[in-house]
Amino acid sequence: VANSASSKTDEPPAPVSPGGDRGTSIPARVRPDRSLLVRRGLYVVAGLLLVGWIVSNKSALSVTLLGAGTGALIAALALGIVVTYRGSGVVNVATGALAMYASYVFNSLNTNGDLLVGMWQIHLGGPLGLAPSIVITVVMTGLLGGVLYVVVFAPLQDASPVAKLVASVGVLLVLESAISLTYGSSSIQVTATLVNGSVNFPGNVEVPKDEILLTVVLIVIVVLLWLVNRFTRLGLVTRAAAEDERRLTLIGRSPRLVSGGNWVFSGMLVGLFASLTAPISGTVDPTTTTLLVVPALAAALIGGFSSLGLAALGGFLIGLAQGLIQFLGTQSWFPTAGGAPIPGVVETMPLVLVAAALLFRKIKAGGRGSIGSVRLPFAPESRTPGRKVLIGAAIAIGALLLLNSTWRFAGINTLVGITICLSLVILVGFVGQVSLAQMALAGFSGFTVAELSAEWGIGFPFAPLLGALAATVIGLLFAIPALRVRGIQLAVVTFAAGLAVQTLVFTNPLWSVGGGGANVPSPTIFGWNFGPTAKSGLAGGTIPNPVFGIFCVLVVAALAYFTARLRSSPWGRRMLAVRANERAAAAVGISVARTKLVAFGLSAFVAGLAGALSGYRFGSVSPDYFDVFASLSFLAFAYMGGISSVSGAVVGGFLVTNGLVFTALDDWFGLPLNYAPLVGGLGLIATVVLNPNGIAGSFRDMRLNLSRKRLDTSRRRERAET
Amino acid sequence: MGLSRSVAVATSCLLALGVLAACSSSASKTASNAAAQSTPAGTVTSADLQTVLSYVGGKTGKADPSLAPVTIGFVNQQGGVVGYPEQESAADAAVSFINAHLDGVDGHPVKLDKCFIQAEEDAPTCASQFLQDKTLYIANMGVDIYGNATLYNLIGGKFPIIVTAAVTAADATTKDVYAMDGGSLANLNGIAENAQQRGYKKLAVISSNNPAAKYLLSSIVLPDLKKRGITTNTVYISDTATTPDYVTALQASGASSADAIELVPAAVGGCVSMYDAMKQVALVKPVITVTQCAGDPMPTVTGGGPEDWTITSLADLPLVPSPQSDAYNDIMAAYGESSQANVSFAPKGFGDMLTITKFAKAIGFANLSAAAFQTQITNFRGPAWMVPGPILCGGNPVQSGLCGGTSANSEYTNGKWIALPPYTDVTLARK
Repeated sequence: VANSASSKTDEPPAPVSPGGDRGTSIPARVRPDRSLLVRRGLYVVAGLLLVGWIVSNKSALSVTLLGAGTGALIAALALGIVVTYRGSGVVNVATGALAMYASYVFNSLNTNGDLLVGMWQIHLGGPLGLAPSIVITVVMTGLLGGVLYVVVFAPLQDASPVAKLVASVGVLLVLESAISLTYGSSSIQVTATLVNGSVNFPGNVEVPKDEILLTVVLIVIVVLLWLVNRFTRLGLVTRAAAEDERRLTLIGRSPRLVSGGNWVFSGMLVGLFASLTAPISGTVDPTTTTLLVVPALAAALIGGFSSLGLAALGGFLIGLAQGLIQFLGTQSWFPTAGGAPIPGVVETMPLVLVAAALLFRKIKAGGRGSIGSVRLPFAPESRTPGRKVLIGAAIAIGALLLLNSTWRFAGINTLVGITICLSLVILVGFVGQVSLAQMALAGFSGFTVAELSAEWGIGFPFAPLLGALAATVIGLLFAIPALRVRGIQLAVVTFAAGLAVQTLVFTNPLWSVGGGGANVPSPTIFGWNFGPTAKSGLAGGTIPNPVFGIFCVLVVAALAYFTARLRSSPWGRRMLAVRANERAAAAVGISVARTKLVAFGLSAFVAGLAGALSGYRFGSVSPDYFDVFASLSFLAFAYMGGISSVSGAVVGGFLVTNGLVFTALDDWFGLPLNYAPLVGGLGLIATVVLNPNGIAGSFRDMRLNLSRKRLDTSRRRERAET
Repeated sequence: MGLSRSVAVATSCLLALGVLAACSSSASKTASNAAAQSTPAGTVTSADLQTVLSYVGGKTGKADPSLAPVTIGFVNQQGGVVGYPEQESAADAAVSFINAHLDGVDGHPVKLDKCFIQAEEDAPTCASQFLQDKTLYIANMGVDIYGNATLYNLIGGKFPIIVTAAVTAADATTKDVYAMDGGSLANLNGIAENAQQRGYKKLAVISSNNPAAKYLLSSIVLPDLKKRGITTNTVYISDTATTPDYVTALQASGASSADAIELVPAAVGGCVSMYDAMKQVALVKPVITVTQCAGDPMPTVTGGGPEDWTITSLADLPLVPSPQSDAYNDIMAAYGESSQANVSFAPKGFGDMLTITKFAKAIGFANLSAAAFQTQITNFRGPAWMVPGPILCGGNPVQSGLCGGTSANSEYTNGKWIALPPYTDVTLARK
C-alpha cells in the first residue's frame, strides 16, 4: 500500500467514483436518512422564524434588503466558481480578483476611453457609454478566462486539486499586482451611474433601484443557466464533464474544449456583474472585490460545487445577512467585547453556513471526475534522516554565527517558514488533506503564548508547549469536517474556519491589546534571556541574538527529523495509503478517521510551535500576520518547495517572505519592490505547471537522472570492453 | 534527463526566486535623496521661506553636499498592495527644501535612510538597518500598520522615533516613540466636542471596524459622548466597505432620525462612499468626520468640498489658507509632487521632518546624539508645524506617546474651506 501510495499512481479508477475521485466516495444510503430529515425540518422552522422576525421589524427588513447588491455580486462570483469547477475541476480562488480586474476594465473604458489589456492601456479616443463599456468588459474578461485556461489550467488537467488551487493563488497575485502597478493601491472613483432613485416597498422600506436591477439580472442569469444546463447540448456535455470526463470522450467531445468554454463563460459572467456593481459601489480598488471570494467559496460549497441555483442563493443570502448582522450589532443585547460588538460575526458567517450546509444536505464527498489519473506528489523516504538533519543543523548554526544582522534575520525567517511548511507536509503531503487554516493554528498558539505570559505569568518553555497543544485542540476540531468532506471542499471549510478564528479570536480585545495584537516577552530559562533582542556576546552584540537563531535551528532540526521518521514509520505508511485511496486503505484494516485525526493533530502541533517561534521572533503577535491569505501563501511556498517531503519544506522555508532567497534577490539583484508580487505570482504559476513535485523534487529527479546516466555510461563502457 | 526537462527545472527554479515577493514584503535600503534633486517645478516665495525659517530656526543658504550628512531614519509602509507613498514624497520635499534653502544642519546636508515595510517580516530588517547606521540618532515613522511593535521592540529605545500618524496602539504607547499631535484620541474627542457645541442630542455613528478605530471609539469616545448627554447608535463596517455597505450602515444606525452623523472611515474611499450613499438615499444631515474626508479625491468628487461636513484633524488642512499651509503647498509643488500634497497625512509628515531638523539645528551638528534629540523632544512645547495647540511629550495620561491634545477643525462652506476654532482637551494633555 505504501509503495503504491508514494508513487505516481496509475491504478484503475474505482468503480463508484472514477478518475479524480480515486475511489474515495462512500456508497450512498438506500434508505432515507431520518436524522437528516429532522435536521432539515429544524432548519426550515428556524429559517421561517427568522424571516418572520425580519419582516415584522421595519428596520431589520430595510437593512436586510439593502444587502441585495453585495449579495448579487457574491452570488455571481459563486456562480463563476461553480462553472469553472464543473467545467475543469479548478476551484478558482482568483475569481474575486478576476471581477476586480473587470471592474477596472469597465471604469477605464467608461471614464477615460482606455482599453486595459494586461497592464497596458490603449486609448480608444474618448470615454465610452455605459452599454459599450459593459459589453467590451464582458468580452475582455471572457477572453481573459480563456487565456487563463489555455496557459495555466489546461496543462494542469491531471494535476492534484491542491496544485490547481496553488496555481489559482498565482493568478490572484498576478491580477492584483498588475492592477496595483497600473492604477495604484488607492481606490478610484467610478463616475458611471446605473440607475438613479429608489423603490418604496410596503411598510415604507426603500431599496435603491440599482440594487433591485442587479438582483433581477442575477435571477435572469440563474434561470438562463439552468435552462442551458438542463435542455441544451452544451449543458449536457458540461454535466458529462462534471461527472466524468472520460464519458465525454466516449461521445466524441473534447473535454478541453468544454473546460475552456466554461472558463470563457465564467469570465464573461464575472465581468458582467463586476461592470454592473462598479457604478453601485462608487469606487474600485484592488482588494475589496478580490476578498469577496471568501463568502463566494462558502456559497459555492453550499451548492456542493455543482448546483448553480443553490450557490447563487447561498451567495445572495450571505449578502443579505451581512446587512442584517450590521443592524443586529446596534442592538443592546448583541454580545460585546471591549465595549464594541463582538468582532468577526460577519466573517464567521461563511463558516456557519458551510457547517449548516454540511449538516443540512449530503454534499458529495469526492471531487469531480477527470480524464486522466491524478498525479500525487512523490513522497520520498529518507534512509539517513539523522545524518542529513545533523549536517543541515551544523551548517545553519555556523551561518547564524557568521552572517550579518540582515542575513541572520533572513535565516530566522527561513527557519520559522520551514516549520510551517513541515506542518503542511504532514497534513497535505502525507495525508492529502488540504488545509487553508495553518496560519490560524499558528496564530492561535502565538496568541496563547502571549496570553499565558501576560495574564498567567507562564513563560518559556511551558508557554510555547501549551500554545502548541492549544493549536492541536483547534486542529482536531478542524479535523471533524475532514471526516465528512475532503479535497477541495475541505479546503473551503478550513478557509472559512481560518477566517473565523482570525476575526473572532485574533482581533478580539479579550485576546489582543485594542484588537491589534499582543506582546510576547523574550524567552528566558533560569533567568537567562536568549530572545532576539538579548545581548549574548556573539556576532558583536548585534540583533538578532544568534543564540535565538540557534534555538530555532534546534527546534526545526528536531521537527524535520521527526517528520522524516514519521514518513517511514507505520503511521506514515498509513497516511500515504489514506492519501492514495481511502477505500483501499480501509479495506486493508487502516482506520481512515484515526489516521486523519492523528495527522491533523500532529500538523497542528507543529504549526503551533511555528506560531510560538514567530511570536518570540517579533516580540509580538498580530492578526494580520496570521490571516487566511498568509495560509494561502505558505501553502504556495510549501507546494513550490515540494509538499510531500522534508527537503521540500526546507526549500519552501527558503522561499518565504524575507527568507534567505528573498534577501539574496533584494541584496544582490535589487528586485524592484513594486514588481515583486507580479514576478512572484508568475513564478508560482510556472513552478506549478512545470514542476508538480516542487523544486526539491526536481533536484531529486536531476540527481537520479545523473546517476542513471552514469550507470548507463559505465554499462556501455563495460559492454564495449567486453 | 532531456533538455526540455532541464530547461523547465531551471526556469521554474529561477522564476521561483520571485515568489518570495509574491506573498508580500520587502524592506528596501536606500541612500539619500538629498543630493540628487531635480530642478524645482513650482515657485517657493520669500514669504514661504520666512515662514519655514521662523519654525525651523538657523539661517538660510544651501547645504554643502561635500560635508558629512545628518541622517534621519525614515520608515513607511509602501510598495505593496496597501501603501502610503505620499509620506515619502512629503519627506523628500521637506529634506530637499531644507538642503536647498535652510543650510541643512550647520551646513551639513540632511539625508534620509529609508526603509519600507510591506509585511511584519520587514520590521526586523528595518530595525537592523537603522541600528547598523552609526550616524542615525532619530527616525521618523510615516504611516504603517504592520510590524510597528516589532520595530520598536527591536530598536529598544536606542534612539527616539517620531511617528507621523499614530495608527496602532504601539505608536501611541511605546516608550521613546512620540507623535507631535494628539493622535486619534484628540481627533475623536474633537468630534465629540463639536457634537456637543452644536447641540446635537442623537448621533448616528458609522466607523471603520479596524481594531484601532474600534478600540478608541468604544473605550473612550462613545462613553465620553454618553457623559455629554449625547445618545449614539453605532455601526462598524469593513475598511473596504463601498457605497451599498454605507447605505446599509446609514439605515442600521438610524441616521435618518439622528441629529447628525459621525463618520470614522479608514481611508478617503470611505468618505466618498458615504457621500455617494447619502446622495443615493437623499439623506441630508450634518456630518462630523476626520482628516481623510478632506483629502483627495473628496474635493474633486464633491466639487470643492462636502457641504455641511465638519472635519476634525491632527493638523491644519492644506486646503485652508494660512502662511504654513501656503508654504507647504508651494514647497510640495516645487520639490515634491503636488498631487500628493492633500493625501492623508502628507502635511503632517512634511511637518515632522521640519521638526526633526529644528531639533538637529538646535543641538548642532557636532553634538548630535540620541540623548540630545530625546532632550529636545522632551523640552519641546509646540506648536508643531501646522498642528494647533501646545505639545508636552509624556503628558498624556491615556496614551503616553501622544504629545498633543488638540484637534484642528475646518469646514467647507459657501464654496471655500474655512478654519474653525481648534479644540484642546485639557484632561488629555494635562497642560
